[in-house]
Amino acid sequence: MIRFARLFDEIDQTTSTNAKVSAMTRYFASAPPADAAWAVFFLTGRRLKRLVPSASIRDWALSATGLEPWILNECYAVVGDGAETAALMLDQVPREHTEDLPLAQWVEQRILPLRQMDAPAQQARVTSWWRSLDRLQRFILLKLLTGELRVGVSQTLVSRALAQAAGLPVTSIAARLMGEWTPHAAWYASLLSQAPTDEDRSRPYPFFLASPLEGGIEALGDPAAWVVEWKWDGIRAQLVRRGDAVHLWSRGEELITHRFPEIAAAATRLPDGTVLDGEVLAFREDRPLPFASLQQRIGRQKQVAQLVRTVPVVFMTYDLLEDHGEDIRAKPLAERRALMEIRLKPDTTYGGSRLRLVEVEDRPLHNRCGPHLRTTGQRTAGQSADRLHLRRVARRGARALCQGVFRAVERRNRRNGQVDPAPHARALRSCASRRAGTGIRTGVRGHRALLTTPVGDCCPVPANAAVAEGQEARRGRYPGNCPRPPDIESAIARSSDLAIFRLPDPISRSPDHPILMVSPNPGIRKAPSGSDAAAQARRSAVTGSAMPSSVRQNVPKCIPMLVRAPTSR
Amino acid sequence: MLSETPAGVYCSAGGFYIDPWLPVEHALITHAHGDHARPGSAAYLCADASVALLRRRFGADALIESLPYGRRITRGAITVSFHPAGHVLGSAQVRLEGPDGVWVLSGDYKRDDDPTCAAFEPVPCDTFITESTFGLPIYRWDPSSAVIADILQWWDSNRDAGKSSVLFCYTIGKAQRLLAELARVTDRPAHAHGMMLPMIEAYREAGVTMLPVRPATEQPRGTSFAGELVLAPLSARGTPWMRRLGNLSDAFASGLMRVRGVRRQRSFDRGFVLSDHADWPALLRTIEETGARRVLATHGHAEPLARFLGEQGLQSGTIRTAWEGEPSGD
Repeated sequence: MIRFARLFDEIDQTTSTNAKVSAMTRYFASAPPADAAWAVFFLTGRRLKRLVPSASIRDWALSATGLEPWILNECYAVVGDGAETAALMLDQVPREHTEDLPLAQWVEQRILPLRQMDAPAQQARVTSWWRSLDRLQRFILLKLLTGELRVGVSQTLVSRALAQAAGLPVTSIAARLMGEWTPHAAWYASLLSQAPTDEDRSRPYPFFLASPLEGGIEALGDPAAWVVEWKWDGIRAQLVRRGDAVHLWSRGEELITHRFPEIAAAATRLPDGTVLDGEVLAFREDRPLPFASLQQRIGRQKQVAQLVRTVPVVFMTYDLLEDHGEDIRAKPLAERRALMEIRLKPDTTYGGSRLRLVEVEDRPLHNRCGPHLRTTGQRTAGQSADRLHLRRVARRGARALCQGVFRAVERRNRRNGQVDPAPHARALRSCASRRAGTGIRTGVRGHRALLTTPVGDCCPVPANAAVAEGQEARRGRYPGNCPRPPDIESAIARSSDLAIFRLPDPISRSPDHPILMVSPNPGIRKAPSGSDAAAQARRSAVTGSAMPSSVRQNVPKCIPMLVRAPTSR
Repeated sequence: MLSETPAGVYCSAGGFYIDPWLPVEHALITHAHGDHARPGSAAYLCADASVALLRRRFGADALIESLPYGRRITRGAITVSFHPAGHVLGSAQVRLEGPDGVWVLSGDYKRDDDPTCAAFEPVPCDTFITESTFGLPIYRWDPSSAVIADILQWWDSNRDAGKSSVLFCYTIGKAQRLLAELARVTDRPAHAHGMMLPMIEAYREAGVTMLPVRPATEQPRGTSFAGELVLAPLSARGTPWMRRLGNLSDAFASGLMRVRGVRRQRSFDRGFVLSDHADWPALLRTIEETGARRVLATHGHAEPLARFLGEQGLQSGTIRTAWEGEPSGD
């Protein structure tokens, strides 16, 4: 417990990610496996289900200190945290002896058995325990008892520390940390084991998320090596069908199978050993429903059956990662796509329209994008498909490990056709501030986004407009009230909390038609809050390509997919 | 004896104000902090050791008279004397004796050992006006030697990491107390923000032993502060001045740091719980030692303290002052 308390203290005392990781690495390298297993459990934000109500903690603290409830309320108003208030007040109860039980013993032999006890027995136990603890340990104990211990690290950081301690790649630790596990010494040993462990067949592959493109459009290489796919606005998920079981994972590595029983049911008809990457969408009669509808399905745990009727969902498949038990991520996209089309034939074999296959725009990237963007207008009739998803087709000889995935999100004020970045900036800022410090994933979408000019709505152009129509013609087609790209850029540049990545339009490749990639300023994540943090964020707000390397390092990286010497498409 | 007026606490029988916040004719000053000592009054009276600090605050022209601790003088119908409050150099309790019995106004005070100022002396009285900046049972200080050991350890680990250690603290009292306490455990020189230098100098003139201090403001461009301890006022946080300090770890030394959420909300790396105010046990102990039957609490958590004392059978209440206690820097 002392060792864990020290770790908590070290993490608590710094805002530096590296310092947090190195503190955890030191802990994992030295702690007994059973303790380390529980530490991983708590550090990754898992909780013991509430064992003791906060009200009991409060009553016990009052009876131990002889203070009146009103004064505890006054203290709580200052502290804002029940366990901390109690721990601070309990400082007047002296520590009578020192005892250092390992964390695992604390949890398994002391804390968990409290569940079976009545309140007086619980009180007798807990009040005797805190006599052997110092202030920090008391605080941690009370937090564990109320199931509220929060440590300011994310699962990613914990994975990084474990990977450093074990000398393993971060991705394999991340994969092993996914899903359900019970913290004990043997599990911890397998977590750090050099040998591949495959005990849990429910595990998804690492999620492959969008990341800002660094450097110029040239980094993408030959435009012909890209295809354009629709990126739908829903919950990114992996559908894992192995053995007799189906598991649906959100990108937050959360199991959401039970929330979407109709998808699970449809997936049982897939062949054993199939893993699909895709998006859960609220969908009715070939139309996507607004994201808000889908949120009902996310938010509510009960009455799922009724929601299945009112908010039907589909799984929009982007990719096939595993086929008949074989990891096919290394195969070229064209091959995977061909397999997908076979596996997901739109007949009733696999649950009819529950599992769908994402459409691919048949015009390759170098055909210019005018027509593509114009079709956005039609697509957004459904309100959801306002994102473009460009994905790299594996290319011979390419170092295809760093794939680029784009999401194009249009935020526009439809009344006057002005792009209004303010709501978007607000959303990003709140997302960033929620992420900051806590290390807790918020699942807020729109974390990264591309802002594009609203070509579709403002400039009706025949759908079959020739590719050969040059830039002159396109430039002339911006009517007066359609904001020109520089306006957007300057509007966003004024918003100090955003770091802006400027890209030439990857589709038109025209410098006159830039796309801005906007991301919460990484500086915000380093300095969590307060006016000083805001000032710091302002100072470190960076635009354009002249980002200092310290900032660049904080830009989230994509998890590369394994692509081995691919064949030409 | 005392009344609350728009200009501050007023003693009509003696014709003077105590720590007034508007300019008045006669002002008694408990100590030199800005929320107690405000400029503009015609005449000031304070304890001897406070004069040097008030001079630096009010300038050479101000009329400042002083008394040694314990000497009694008469103002109108009132006998006035100053007694050590242990808060900062020259800080004093004001004892007033008159037809209404003996009143003591504590000013700010603490009971912990402090090498920079005279220790608090309990003064028997009928009515005790106590500060209550930290008047809640969550506030309880560790011995300052333990806190100083923590600070030194933090400084050492930052030295190892090649970082500067920026310790924010109040310019009068806290900075000097830190330097004096640190001088007991190390002889490494410290740096201080330019705003702090005059007051550090005043303490040195008063004979307080402190670490040698170098100005952190006038060093030539490119001076490295890696491994150095830099004391700075909170107002310097986030200013361009900070840039020259390079890679740093920052901390705040204040009783406010007792609450984790306060430190985290302000995103200090470290918070050292070191206060020049009395903690909860010290408040209760002091009130008991004065033997006062009536206690008035002011500033901070005055109402909870007064209510608590009322429940203990004392006559208690609150009185309004403009004291701010520990500045939070907001």
